[in-house]
Amino acid sequence: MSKIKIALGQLLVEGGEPERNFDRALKLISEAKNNGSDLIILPECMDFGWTHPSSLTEAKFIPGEFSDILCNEAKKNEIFICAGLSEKNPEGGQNFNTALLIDSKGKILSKYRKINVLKQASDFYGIGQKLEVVDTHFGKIGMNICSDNYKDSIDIGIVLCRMGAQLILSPSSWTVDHSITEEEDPYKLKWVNQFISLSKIFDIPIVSTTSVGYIVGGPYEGKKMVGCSIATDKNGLITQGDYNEFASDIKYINVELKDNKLRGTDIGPKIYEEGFLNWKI
Amino acid sequence: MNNTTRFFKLNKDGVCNFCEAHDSLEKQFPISGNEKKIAEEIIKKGKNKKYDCVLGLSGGRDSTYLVSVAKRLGLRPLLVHFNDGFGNPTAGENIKNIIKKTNFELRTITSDWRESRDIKISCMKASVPDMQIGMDLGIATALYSTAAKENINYILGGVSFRTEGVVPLDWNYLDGRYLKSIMKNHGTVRLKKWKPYDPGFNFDVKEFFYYSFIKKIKYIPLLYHLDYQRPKAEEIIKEEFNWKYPGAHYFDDLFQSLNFYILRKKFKIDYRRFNYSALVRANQYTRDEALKKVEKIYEVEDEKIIDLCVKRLGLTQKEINHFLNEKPKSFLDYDSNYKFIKLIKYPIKILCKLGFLPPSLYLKFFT
Repeated sequence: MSKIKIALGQLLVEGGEPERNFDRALKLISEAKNNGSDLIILPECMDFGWTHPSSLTEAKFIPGEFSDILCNEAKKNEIFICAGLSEKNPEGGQNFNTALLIDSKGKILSKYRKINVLKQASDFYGIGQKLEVVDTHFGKIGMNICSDNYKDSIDIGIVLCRMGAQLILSPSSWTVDHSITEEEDPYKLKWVNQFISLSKIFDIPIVSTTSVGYIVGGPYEGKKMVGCSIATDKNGLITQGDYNEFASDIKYINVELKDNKLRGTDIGPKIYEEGFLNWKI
Repeated sequence: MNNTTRFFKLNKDGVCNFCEAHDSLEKQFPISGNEKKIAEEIIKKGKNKKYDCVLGLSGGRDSTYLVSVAKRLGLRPLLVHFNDGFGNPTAGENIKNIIKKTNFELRTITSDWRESRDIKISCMKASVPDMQIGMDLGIATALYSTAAKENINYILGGVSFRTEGVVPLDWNYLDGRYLKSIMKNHGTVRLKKWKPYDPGFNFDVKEFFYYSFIKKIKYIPLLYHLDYQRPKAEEIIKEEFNWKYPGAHYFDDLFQSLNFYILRKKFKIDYRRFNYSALVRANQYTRDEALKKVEKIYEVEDEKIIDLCVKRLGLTQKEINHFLNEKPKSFLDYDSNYKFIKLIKYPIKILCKLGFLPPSLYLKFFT
């Protein structure tokens, strides 16, 4: 069992403005380090913003210019970084919506390409073909991205847990209609239900950081991101980011990564018990 | 200002209408501690309500200072922020800090980007200087609709005639009918219809009467009653809220970079002229200081941010150059309520006196 302090870096992402977004991200990384964090998780497509049209032509390879910035910061601050980037396809096809896990020496430990890509985003991102968990000195860490955690794609999270993940990190960019205000609960149970269910069955923390900001291009115009990032463990919600659409914010959690005793065919009955397979979409 | 607006006049004593307006506001709003009396009235009227007033907050200096004043006066405002997709992140950080320090509640009203972008581009195509009409009407509807929804009778405004001045009509004309006319001629998106609590960009005579007379909402320019001096205000809000300067006046809104650039290049308009004139009249600047300052291009015209605005709107520099080369027009070239307003001079005067309209509005139209 090992303990880890995680910073949820709820970043303000301006569509099509990678330089400005990285400037803010670096401040959050440094703040996280100064607060004793071992790892910071930043949102999905934090470079250009999710589905921003400029990413179609300006996305970078990974490793490449943008991932190098994060690797250097990880090394400089001696902190693990998990972040979402738009990835230029080295094979020349569609870009990918990619999450990276970088260790505190600046080495990319894992690169995950999103699988459950939204239909409206399918012109922007190809489908990932690999799921993995990686060993770190904290334990085994798996990543997925945003809508990979939809009710009807909970199998992605389940597979990570089946592979022995002791912590799931999920860079996200949860969107809501522009008309939503602070009066309302922006997501209700849209995300937290699945997170808590997985956390309970597998006794693992799941941490998702979403971006904040106003969508200014692409198929999701008319929507915005309002934060409220979440982290759960088997007891429920550990923390929630602030509701906000105009400023970055950071929250800290301390979690324990436990040995995952559920293995192989032991897992099936537990999944039935939780009723995942009966979930209506 | 005389060679930049057609609404500049001199009286028989050689005093211009903007100085007359300033003097008139000075008489109407002397610095006499009246803000305490006003606050008492607001508190009394809002006694059994969750909030006693709505306060528009951009995260810039003036509205942040207004929060400080409201707090000092014991008011319980519901802070309202309007986001049209061009908020300056520094101003956003300021808002976040204000909420943390005051525990006042915030309501963020967000425009639909498809509408707010189209309004800005339509104004450029219309060749008028009122490219901020969407932002200004959006702020007004956000404040009034939130007050109506929460049954609040007072809206506090963070503008001071002593520092801001009175903007010439042909530099900034605000009228819902005018916006409709621009959109009819140049828009590509149909604006959403008005609903009392979700008004979008609709703020015409009918909507104004609904909010003012059915919902009984009054507008109070609280800073008019104070000896508002920006350097002093800045010290206070830095101390109180760890407030950061967004880089220039008006720069709580990034679009002002492109707005100021087009206004200067195409219309020979520089907002600092009426701002600094006010500061000179209020003895906060000398005339020489002001003239020296306006010789230089205003720092709000940050090249990087101008590029950001162009890109964010989905335009190219070539298209901006095309707008710059089109013959300048004004609200007088479009349908608006201007003629109607000119016909109802005295009702407007009374509405301003009663607090249903901003006091400077009458002076803007009729001095």
